[in-house]
Amino acid sequence: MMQWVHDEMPRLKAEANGSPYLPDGRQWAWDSSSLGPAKDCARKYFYQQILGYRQKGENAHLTFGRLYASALETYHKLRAEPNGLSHRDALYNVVHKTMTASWDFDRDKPRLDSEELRDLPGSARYKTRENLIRSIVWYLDQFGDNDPCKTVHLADGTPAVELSFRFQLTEEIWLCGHLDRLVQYGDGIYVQDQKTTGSTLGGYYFKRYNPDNQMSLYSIAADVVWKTPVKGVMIDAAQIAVGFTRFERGFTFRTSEQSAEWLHDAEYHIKMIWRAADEGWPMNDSACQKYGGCPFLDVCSKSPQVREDFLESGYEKRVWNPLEVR
Amino acid sequence: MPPKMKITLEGPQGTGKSIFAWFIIEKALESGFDIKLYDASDTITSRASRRKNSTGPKRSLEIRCLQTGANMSDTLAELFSRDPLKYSEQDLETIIAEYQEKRQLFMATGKAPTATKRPVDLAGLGLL
Repeated sequence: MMQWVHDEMPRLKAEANGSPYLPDGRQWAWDSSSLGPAKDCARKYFYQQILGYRQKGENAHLTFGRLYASALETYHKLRAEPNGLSHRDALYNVVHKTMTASWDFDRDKPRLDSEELRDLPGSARYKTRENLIRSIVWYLDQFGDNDPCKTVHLADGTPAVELSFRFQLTEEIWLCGHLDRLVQYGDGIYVQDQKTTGSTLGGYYFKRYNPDNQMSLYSIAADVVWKTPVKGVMIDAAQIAVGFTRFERGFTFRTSEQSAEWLHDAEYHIKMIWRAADEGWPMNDSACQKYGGCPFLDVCSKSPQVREDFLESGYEKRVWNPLEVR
Repeated sequence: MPPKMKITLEGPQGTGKSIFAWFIIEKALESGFDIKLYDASDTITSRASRRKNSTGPKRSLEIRCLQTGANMSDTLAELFSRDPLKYSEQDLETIIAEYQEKRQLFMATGKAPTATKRPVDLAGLGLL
């Protein structure tokens, strides 16, 4: 069984200025978004997390997913008892909020514009503003008023929606992140997470979440937030297609032994990535082609002396801070 | 060279181009065409089948589905092109009602609202 350590001294200096890095440059605050690349490849972690490089332009998948999850979180917050809004009022508020959030006020035009996305490869072209609103309305038509799972309330009475968490793994490592929602379903408590995909939904789709870095962390984090073990993670997946959005609810579970193993392995990977800095951030070339290709494929395929130029010209800097509160 | 026929289906998103293409493919395969389909989902499908009762060269058919814009009513398109901070409650009502109606249709038919089963006449399409 894992042990929680409560010595906060090593990170205090860094935390004071909101930095996830210790004064010597090692990352102390880890979320699944930074731990994922660290597990994949040290070079990818260096480019993405340490230097903050991202592919240029808006990532349709990320923007769509973020707006979709945010809309549903808002709905559940507005509906939360004791003074929650009616389904209709909450739905109107959420649609208005999402229409506003997906409007580019600087350019006075919509984001996720179908005309701009139509030439993108794969399912990115379906992550349009119209399909976003359709997906929200359809999800809330299906689950809004008739959902057998209900938002739970924390000890202080606040609804357990959009929960930030942070807990200590070792003296120098903290794990952090955000949970969409904690729900009561049947006789158990679950973390609920929203996913959007272009894939057909079914058993094959949900298999990808065990083992899975993010879901393992969520499962452990929920125990910490809720202070008693939760049953698992409930994944509400939305298949975004040309003319429809289809939903499927799947579950993924972790035993306490699996959670302990994940924490042990996470510590190993973090310590390895700390060492990688001294070794020049070695490349793991067996991971380059995963998930349709690493975003830094075009850089790593070049000779080392010209890579910096390719990074400067082909990417933009958007630094990811796991400590940032949503 | 075997004869090569081409069909292009053009229309807004979700208007049933893909479904219609597959109805054509079903019929065309029965008539011995090699098929290539270029669809919005990036799938390039190539299927071959023997022409029944024929020893001659196979014919090939290429179908392209081209999307020309979003499938939405003029009212909805106008609302989506407008600054949402200026929406009235009626505007929101219109948006929500239209998507709820689309869902009802989807639930009733099990497919995209505009995709309807239409008879395919290969001769009428100039393929035979």
